[in-house]
Amino acid sequence: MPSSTSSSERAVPRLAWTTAGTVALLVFVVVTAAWELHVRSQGYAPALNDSSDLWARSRSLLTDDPEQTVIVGSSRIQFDFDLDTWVAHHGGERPIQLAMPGSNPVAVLEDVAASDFRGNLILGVAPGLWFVPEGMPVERSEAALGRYRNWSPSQRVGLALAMPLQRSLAMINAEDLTLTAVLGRIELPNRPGSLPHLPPSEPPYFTAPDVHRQARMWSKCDFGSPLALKIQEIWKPLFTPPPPPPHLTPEEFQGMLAANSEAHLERIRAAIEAVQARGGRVAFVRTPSTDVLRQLERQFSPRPAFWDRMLAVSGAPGIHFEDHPELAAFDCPEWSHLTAADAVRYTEILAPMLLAALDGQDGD
Amino acid sequence: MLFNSLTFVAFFGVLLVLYYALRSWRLQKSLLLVASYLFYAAWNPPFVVLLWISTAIDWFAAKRLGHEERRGHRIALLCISLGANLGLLGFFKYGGFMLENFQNVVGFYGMSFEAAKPDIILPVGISFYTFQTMSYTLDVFLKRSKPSHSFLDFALYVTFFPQLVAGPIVRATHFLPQCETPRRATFDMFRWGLFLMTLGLFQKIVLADTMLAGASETVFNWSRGPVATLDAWLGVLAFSGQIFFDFAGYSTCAIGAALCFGFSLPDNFRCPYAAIGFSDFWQRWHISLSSWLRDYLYIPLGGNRRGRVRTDINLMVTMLLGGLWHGASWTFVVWGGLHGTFLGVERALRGRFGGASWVSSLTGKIMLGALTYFLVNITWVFFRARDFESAKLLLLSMFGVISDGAQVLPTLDMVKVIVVITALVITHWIHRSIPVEAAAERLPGWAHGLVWGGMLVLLGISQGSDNAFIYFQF
Repeated sequence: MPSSTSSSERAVPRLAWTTAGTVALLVFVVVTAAWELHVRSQGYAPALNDSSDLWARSRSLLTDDPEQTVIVGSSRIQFDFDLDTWVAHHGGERPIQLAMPGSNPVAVLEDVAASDFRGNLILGVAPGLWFVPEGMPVERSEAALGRYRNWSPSQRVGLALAMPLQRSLAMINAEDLTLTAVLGRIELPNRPGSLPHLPPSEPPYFTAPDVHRQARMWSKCDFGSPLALKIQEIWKPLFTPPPPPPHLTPEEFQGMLAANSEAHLERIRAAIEAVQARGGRVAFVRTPSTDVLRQLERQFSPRPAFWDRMLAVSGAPGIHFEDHPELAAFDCPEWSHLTAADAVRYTEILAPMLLAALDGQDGD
Repeated sequence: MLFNSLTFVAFFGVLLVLYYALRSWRLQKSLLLVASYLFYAAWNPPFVVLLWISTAIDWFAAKRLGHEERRGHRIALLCISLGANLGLLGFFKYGGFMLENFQNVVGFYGMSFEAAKPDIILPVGISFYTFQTMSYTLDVFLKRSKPSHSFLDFALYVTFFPQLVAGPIVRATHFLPQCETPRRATFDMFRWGLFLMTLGLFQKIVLADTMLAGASETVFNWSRGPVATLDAWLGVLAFSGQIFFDFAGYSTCAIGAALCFGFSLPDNFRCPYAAIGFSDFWQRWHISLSSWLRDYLYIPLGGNRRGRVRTDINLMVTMLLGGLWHGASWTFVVWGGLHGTFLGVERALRGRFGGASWVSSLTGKIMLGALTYFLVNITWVFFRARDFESAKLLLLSMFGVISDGAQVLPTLDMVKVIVVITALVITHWIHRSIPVEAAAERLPGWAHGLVWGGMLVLLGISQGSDNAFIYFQF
């Protein structure tokens, strides 16, 4: 019987606590250690999670130093732009990396523009993402900004406590090794007539960021690797626009997208103008993409309608990899991002061009 | 801070060490009070002021009530307490809702009233601690208890961190006597407390967030037309499990955390999905709220003492307000209204068929239990749906009126829901009359250890997240 002592006291069961506690501890330690060893044998290594808290931490650095170099964009500029190589050319601190994988960066650009920022602003362009009207890419930016704006003391402390653990244990991997992700790898056929996964699946873990959110491609994603091939297949639906919703004709849908693009262009222009008005300098960078993905981009985000328009409307300079043979020579294992070694070489070539583009605004 | 966060693990560990290092009971209570303010401030520091306001007003109102015998003055003091607490709740939780409805009413009569949408952040747990402090003043007003003689004890009662933001809503008569003598957990209490915290986190992180949230969110957030009948049902069943594991998980954590400091908190859930009828359901679901509504609303309205019609009206008023307590939306009111209706119908049927032998047979109980769970799930549609339009669409899909909805759930999510919900319902039925303590005693030590260790492993692999508990928003 429970050893209840009075009506206001809780009953506490009589158990063989020593046995129970010992077995629980043993099970926990042994299974967790085995899991850690297993994931390390699969190539995983301890690394920080690119969480919204880590992003909020980077964003708060901008408040501390509004004259820093800041990078806004999506995963390509986060992978391909090597912060240390830039520092070697430009000097100063590592830039503040605010690029966010799979995001529409316009809201982040507006947030930077609304701050006191007056440093160098590098805008990494994956053309489709800058003009996505709604859905996950937009929500991702808004969620990160929301996190920064409402970043509670508890979340700050949580990040400080989590980082040493993430640096020690490979099993702490929010993208690939959570119970949800592990269960998600069980392949069960869906019912005939089931809708495809919406939004399309995102690529699995293939990068390890550092504390400044410098992303470096995982070595398991090298050229021709199963992981690289798997990610290539994931890009196809992700970079293909959805069909028109049932209540719109294709013409109406196209008209809606065009109006949305114009609205985004105006937001981009206004934000850049605000930065430049405070003495900030801005440049666009179009990082390499290759093969089928590049073909999809040509089809759905043609350069004249997007890249050229961004530059024309904003008046800011830009460096497109296809305009420079030495930049166009880089290849991407999964068509969209450079390897860690290539990112260094790419930045070495890009940095002088970028500095020239930024310095060119001083005389304006 | 969230129970499911590293910050809480560190906070809890440090607090335990400090608490047991102190020898003075007064210092220990002071430490718990300061720690509780820190716990609350970790979300949004300025909102601690609201806690202080609620604490101070109820302390002084109750203290005066303890000496005041003039009826008019007593009512005035009660009004000050209720006005302050309900005012805080009204402003922060219902301000936008009231403004929106005012605009709709004015618009209905052909007039126009445009006001800026108020940008009000809802202080976490405000519905819980305002109800808790109000119960204290009401008890003193109704002479069910005397005012506390210690401000420190009373402040700790309002603020005690395990139950501060999502209950259980503790009565002063349960908590304040515990503050009179030093509380030290025995080793058994401490270990049982830690086990309950593990169990609560397992319910929240593994069962609610990992196993059920995906299917529930896919179905309820689907905005491209109706979903297929099977998907609609599985989505609603997933939500029924998600909200139970989320909320019961919090309560279990709270009870466990309090136990580690030697304090007792009351049960908040007793296998609600094994309920037979809605009156049974409300004795098993969010018990601390349903008993609050019973004692401070339903009974003062007259309860069941003024005839059948008046009883039904009292029930309905209580449940409508109970619905509104959950959120500033008419969908919550309809959820409460449905529960009120089912309670009223049950009362009528009980009077007519209550004595029938089949009602008390095992088959009859199972059938009535299944009917209760079925109807509870219908009510969850209104609780979770974004608006009435999406609730209507989902109900039409559930009952096959719309038969060509989209199959939105992947097979893996369907399997998760079926496995977890089946296990949940069976477990509730098996443990319908058996408290978790008694169930634990039936297990040998090694089996208990295996269960405990298994939950810890899955918690470790789940890695947690910063998903807030659903009931925080209430």
